[in-house]
Amino acid sequence: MESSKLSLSVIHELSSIVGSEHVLISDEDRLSYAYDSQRIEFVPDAIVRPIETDEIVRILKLANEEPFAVVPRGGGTGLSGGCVAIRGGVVLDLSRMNRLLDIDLGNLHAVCEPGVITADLAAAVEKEGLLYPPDPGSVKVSTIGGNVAENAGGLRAIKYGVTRNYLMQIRAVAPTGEVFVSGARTRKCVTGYDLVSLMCGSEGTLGVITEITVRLVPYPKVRRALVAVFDSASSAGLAVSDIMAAGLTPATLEIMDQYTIRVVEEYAHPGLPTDAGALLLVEFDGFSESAVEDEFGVARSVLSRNNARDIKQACNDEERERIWEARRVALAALARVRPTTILEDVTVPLPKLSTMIDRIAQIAQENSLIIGTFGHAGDGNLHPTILTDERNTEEMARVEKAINELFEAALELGGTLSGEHGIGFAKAPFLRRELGDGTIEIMRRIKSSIDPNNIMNPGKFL
Amino acid sequence: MDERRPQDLFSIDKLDQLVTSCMKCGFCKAVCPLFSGSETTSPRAKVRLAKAVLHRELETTPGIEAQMQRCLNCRACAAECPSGVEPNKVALAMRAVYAEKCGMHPLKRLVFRVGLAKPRLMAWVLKALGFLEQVTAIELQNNPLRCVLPLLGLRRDKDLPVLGRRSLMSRLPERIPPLGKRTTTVLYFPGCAVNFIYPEIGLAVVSILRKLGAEVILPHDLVCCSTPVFNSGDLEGARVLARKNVQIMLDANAEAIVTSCGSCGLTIKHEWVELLGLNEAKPLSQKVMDIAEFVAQYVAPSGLKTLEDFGRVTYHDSCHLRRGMGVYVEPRELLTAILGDQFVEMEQADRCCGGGGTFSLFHPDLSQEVAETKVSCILQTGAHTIATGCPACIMQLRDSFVHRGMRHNVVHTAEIINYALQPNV
Repeated sequence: MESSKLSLSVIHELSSIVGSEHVLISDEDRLSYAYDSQRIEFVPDAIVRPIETDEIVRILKLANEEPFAVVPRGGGTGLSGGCVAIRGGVVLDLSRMNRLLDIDLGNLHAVCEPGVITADLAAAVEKEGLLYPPDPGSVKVSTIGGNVAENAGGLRAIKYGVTRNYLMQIRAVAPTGEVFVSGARTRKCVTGYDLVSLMCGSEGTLGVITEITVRLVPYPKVRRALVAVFDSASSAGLAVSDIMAAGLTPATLEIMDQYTIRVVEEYAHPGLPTDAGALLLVEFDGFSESAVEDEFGVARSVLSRNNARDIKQACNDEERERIWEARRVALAALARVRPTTILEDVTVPLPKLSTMIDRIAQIAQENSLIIGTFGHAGDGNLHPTILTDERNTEEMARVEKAINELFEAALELGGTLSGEHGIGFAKAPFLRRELGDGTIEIMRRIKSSIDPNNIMNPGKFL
Repeated sequence: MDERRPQDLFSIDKLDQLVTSCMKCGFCKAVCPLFSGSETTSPRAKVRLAKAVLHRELETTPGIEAQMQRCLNCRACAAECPSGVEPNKVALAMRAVYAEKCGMHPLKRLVFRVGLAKPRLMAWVLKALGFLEQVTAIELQNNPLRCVLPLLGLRRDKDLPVLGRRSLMSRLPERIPPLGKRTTTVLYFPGCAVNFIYPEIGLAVVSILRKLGAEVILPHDLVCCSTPVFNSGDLEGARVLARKNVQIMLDANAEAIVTSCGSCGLTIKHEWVELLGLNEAKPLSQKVMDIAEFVAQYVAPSGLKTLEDFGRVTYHDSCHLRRGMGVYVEPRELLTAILGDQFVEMEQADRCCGGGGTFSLFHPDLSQEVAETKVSCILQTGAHTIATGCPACIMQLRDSFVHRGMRHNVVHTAEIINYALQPNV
């Protein structure tokens, strides 16, 4: 491992800002902050753990003077390398800024610092009868700050939307050290450029978010779930766009392909039909029994019309829980098959879903790889999960090729590289292909005007 | 390379497989009681640092050792891990690496290699320490002599268990007849903590077994189950103890083996075979059960007297009893049968109390930080009695209450069961 490139005087300066116990420079610390949930690692020169906005201001000013790169980090659970310091520098660990400042029951909002764990926020507002809907898979360990920076999605996005849809106001420190606020704690706000939306999904390239106000919704009182069994994944895909075309809004609409069904059944024995080609797991929620029941009835007939071989309805909470448990363990079940698990994130328009599913199967076959596919079918967001062994270089070359082909296929179908995992550095080389030169140029201008010295998370996106 | 050396927990290949399987999702961070917020203290960082040593990215530095020692082996990370990595075992494997390279703490070495293998010598040492406790009256919190405790690395207000009591083994014969007709023969493995420190728990267990018609075998030659020894990385020392126990227990040929300590039970059920590689222990792992499991198998709830004057009771899951032996339903069913609505669940009942065997001695401050969550969950229930299935948790919980100036009653589940159990005659 290479030694830290930061000079002693910079380390000393950082220590005087946050306290020496919050500047980590040992090899063990640097290696522990070299990763997130994707495979490729870069060792930072130091880790700084601020607790106040003012400390961040001073750190960023110092970073511009020296200069050194600053990479904000929440829970470190991202899947595209957003918080990995690919050009070295300082990882800014925001996990100490974890105060939940306010829950406003009259205005339905909550105010928190970026280091609050998403599930902790959700649990706190649930006690008040409210819902913070975005629930990425890592909800128990990811932070709100990380979710905003990556614009995290989750299982409820089809009805409730993603993180961006819940942001009212943010406070942030610009790369050059100015504190700014954007948005308002109101239902509506059209004053000036929408910097909230700009910062959301910016992956830490435009500043450090230090306070977030999120919108909340009432907690739904009724939930009904079902599992529909299909002979082929593509017929399940067709059923998905038909459900949406029928004017229904499921709270969750998930798909599992045949390979995933088989490994889930082997791993957790939830009683899934292992001969099925695909499953759709559907949930409706709402505030009255009758409204939910109505949607449910229409969904059943749409599914039958689309050749669902069997429809199993959860009759009580326990059965409903069992359906979602089968979905929750999907990643664990897949991850145990081979040593290395690579989770992709392609997303296509709903009418193309079944074509995309077929293409994934074809890509797996042509490259002799195991790919299990599950995902948020209702969002057109699939998680083709490649099961491999990173120690096998020949196989890894095929993996790289397959990933490339997955992206090509998604773009060809009018889709996108990433529905919810972000670009980071892992997908940065493909970004131009999706966006085109003009868009990349606009993004470059935004970046260079806000961050003239390119200190914030360099090497991401652009 | 697949062969492991006796001083290694895993073969290099197996360890490599484990550390490669980690997809660094970080789910372990949500449940690790010792995760401080700094990534370096997370279970996934332990796995990553072990990989660094294995692949020679980093030397075996003291900094890495400190992280590997910072683990209660509570298994919460293993239960949460989607990829089946078991970071706790990676930490144990690394402790073995360090024990070989740097040697163990000399006190640990003395106790593990000499003390635990010779229970009679141990009894004498404890008697001497107990005598010292008595003449100095050091258990009194305001005793000025307590100023020596910090010199020994202990907290000044440490709740010192009474040492040098008559051990369970010295109170009971090796074969104890049932009350009434004999229905089965059970070997009781009390473990060190029950034998030397809390013999009353052992007396309650034996009383339960006798009431249920079991003839109880209590071999006086049993030694430490080896948990603290392999937890410290001394696998060969652990094997010496385990082999001795295995031989005695196989010879006794009882129909069941009963434990009253989650750690002893887990070690007999899994670790002798899985961690220490003693295949001869396989028949024992199928026979071993916790006392609550045994009672639940033999007693209908109607055989239990309801205790109305007990006050409110809550239950703490011993990590090794719950995630190691898989026992968490039976104690609750029995306590509910006995106490009715006086039995209340606490939040996070399955979260570690911070004891972790010798962990609480070597990391007193961290141990009490972990205990803080547990104590506040207990206080929320309003219960003044806490039942649990492991003497190590009892010691930690009692100490945690003393540290906070509170007087709560911590008992073994078996003690409550024994009050409530009518003889089967």
